[in-house]
Amino acid sequence: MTVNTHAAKRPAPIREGGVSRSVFVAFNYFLLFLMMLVTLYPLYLTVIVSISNGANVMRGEVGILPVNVTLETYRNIFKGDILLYMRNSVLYTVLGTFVNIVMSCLCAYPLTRKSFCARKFYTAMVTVTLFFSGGMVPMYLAVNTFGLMDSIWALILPGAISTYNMIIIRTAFASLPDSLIESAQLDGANDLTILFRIVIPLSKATLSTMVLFYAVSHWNSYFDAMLYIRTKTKYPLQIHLRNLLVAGIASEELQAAGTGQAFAVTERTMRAATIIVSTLPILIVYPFVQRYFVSGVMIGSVKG
Amino acid sequence: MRMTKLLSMLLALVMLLAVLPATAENPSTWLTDELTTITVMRGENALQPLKADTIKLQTIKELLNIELVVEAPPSANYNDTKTARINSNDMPDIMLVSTSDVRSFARKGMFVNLSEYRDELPHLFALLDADPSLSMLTVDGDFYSAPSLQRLNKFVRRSGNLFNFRTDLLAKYDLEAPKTFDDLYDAMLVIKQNEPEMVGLTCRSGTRKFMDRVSYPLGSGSSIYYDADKGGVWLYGPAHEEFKGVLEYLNKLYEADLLDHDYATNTKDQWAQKLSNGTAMGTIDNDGVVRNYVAPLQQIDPSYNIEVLPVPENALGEKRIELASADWTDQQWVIATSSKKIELCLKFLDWCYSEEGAIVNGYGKEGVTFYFDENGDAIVMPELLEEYSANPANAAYDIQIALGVGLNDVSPYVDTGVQMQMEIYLKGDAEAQAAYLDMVSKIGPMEGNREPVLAPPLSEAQTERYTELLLKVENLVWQEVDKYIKGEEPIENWDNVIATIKADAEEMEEIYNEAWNAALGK
Repeated sequence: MTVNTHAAKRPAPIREGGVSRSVFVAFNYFLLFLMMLVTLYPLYLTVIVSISNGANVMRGEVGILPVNVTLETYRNIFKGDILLYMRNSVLYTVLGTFVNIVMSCLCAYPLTRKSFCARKFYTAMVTVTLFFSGGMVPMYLAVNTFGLMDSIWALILPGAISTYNMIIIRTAFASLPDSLIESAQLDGANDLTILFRIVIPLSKATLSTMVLFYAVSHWNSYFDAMLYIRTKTKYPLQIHLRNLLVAGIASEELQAAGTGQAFAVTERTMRAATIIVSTLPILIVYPFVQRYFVSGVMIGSVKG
Repeated sequence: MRMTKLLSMLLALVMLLAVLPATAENPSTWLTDELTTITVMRGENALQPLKADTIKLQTIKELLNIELVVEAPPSANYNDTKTARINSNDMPDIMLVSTSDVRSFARKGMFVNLSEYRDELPHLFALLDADPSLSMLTVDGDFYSAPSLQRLNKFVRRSGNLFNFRTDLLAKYDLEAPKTFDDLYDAMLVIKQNEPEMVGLTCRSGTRKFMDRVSYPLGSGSSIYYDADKGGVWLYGPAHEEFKGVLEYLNKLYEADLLDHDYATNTKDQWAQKLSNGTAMGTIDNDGVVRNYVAPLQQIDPSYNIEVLPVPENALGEKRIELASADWTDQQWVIATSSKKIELCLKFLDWCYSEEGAIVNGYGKEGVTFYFDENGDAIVMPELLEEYSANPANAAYDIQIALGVGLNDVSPYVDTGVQMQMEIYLKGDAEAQAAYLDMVSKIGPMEGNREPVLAPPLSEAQTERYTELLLKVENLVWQEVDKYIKGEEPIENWDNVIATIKADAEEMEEIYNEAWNAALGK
């Protein structure tokens, strides 16, 4: 008689099938489906409101499906110079993000080098800016004094480094083994070569995430442009959209025409369409960088 | 050789002829011999983007020899831009600011004291002197700003937080337009009995805004307000017995389900929904905005209608409702003391307040964009009205964009003629136009309509003390109001609130009345 000693040690098999499990799985799916609905419905509602007739939206008739579909709201948004503003926004985003990444890497790398004697001092100095800022007027004066007013650089140079993002990059760089860098040094590589040929290529995941962070903040920013840009043809898209939305509401209050025209476009449809137009480009970019996203932002969060 | 001599003489003659027009006398309308640029900053309304090459700007250049450069940051965040520019002393020559900006920065010497140049500003001061209430805009007795005033034309339309009601429902149930607020209660009760799903009176943006609109017609005020019926004094409404009457009436409506039970939380969207889907009986609000909801309402049933009703009499026997100001006194034009062209800016600003300036800023160029009719009224060229009426929803703005005119442009003495003429034109045939004109012309002279009163200018010390008291009192009052409307507290208990705030309210009233009398020179 042989005794199967292994059988006793084997963990109990997971019981597949069975009513309780099916109920559990069904409940899980149902719950997840509900959560998906809760998450997606606001976005869906925004889309259907933006393409519905304004009068129907106003009367609260749009909930599940669009009513009296019209593209009038989008026509209203896309008339005028919107393509110019879009081009400006793309330019500011691309150029701004490039400058951000280069500057952040150039700042982060020395702060990870143990051979850099003032490392701790500079790290402390940089960290201070996380908590304190000069405020609007001193910043305005600085931009004016440096002659950056009404130029693209006023939107790019003052915010060339985001301290928070730079610290994430620094943490990613610091997680690379010292031996790797030492061996490169032994092969005669200088710091720039090490940074651009070893450190940066090995930190692609983090940098992709930072590209996304920086790009989104450039794409969404309007405040700096509002303060520093005076020529209308240099405005980014967000200024135009924001003005379209907020001033439209204000003007309705101040100077209600009350012309009694049946309108296809209302404040609510305009608001919805504005949200779609301003978020769509970023939504399109997300899937391409998403695979880097989680691994990038988790850098340094777990030790060992 | 002879030929060369002849040629040189000919050339000299040509040069002389070329120089002649330049040395001829400048047009008498020019404000400066040399073409000069004046920079003006104002917020840009998204519905009326400002263009740099409008016929108005060309006309100003031809008439005054001034090149007007308009900086127009979006009005959505104009406040921030303006604050940064003022604080960093990087101001344009002329800019549009608010009353509070004038009060904050005039004392710091940022804006030119216009009163010191009274003789050089005859047109402006003729208008300021004609309306003594405008002295409320002074700082320490002097004008540092020129308010946006309305030039009256034959089409001027008044509006305000008026009493808008579903007149089709009154007709349907054979009810007369309510003459008193008690009649209103009775009429709404009849409608409610027949149409139980209706919400009665609705409102938007919370209790505070609602009370701002209803307290005055009901005989009190929701904060500090000028009461001409009580001897022409400033009163803090909630500290007086009459406010109890307001709360009592609203509670009566609430208990009978004649006041929207979401009155404290309604957003603008929810309010619009109730007005445009036929569930609300009426609202006290801006009649122009409410009129926007008539068209969506009539899409459900063409017989539905919301109209402005005569002001009902309150329990104190008063008929009163406050119109929106005919002027835009919170939009004021200032000249920066840092400007290098102060003299020219003064001349230009004064020209804007002249008849010629108002017409150019309001209509553009005579013979091109408008003509004067036999009564001397400026009339927009019909072909322009036709051209810009293609998109009716925005036509009133589209024509103003093209001409560069109107309230949303650089136009200190505002003539809204172009906007009104487009609105009338859009009504279609002569009958519809006449009906519209008839309807809007009735609003201004309606019995009980009161002109709004400007708050008096407070000194720095008064402002500080008043703000301190106001914060203290308002915190208490607005925690309580809803309880009384909803009937959670018996109305007699409001006496306790009055007792608590009485001393502070009296001090606030004293500050206001003192400043008011001082500004009027009493």
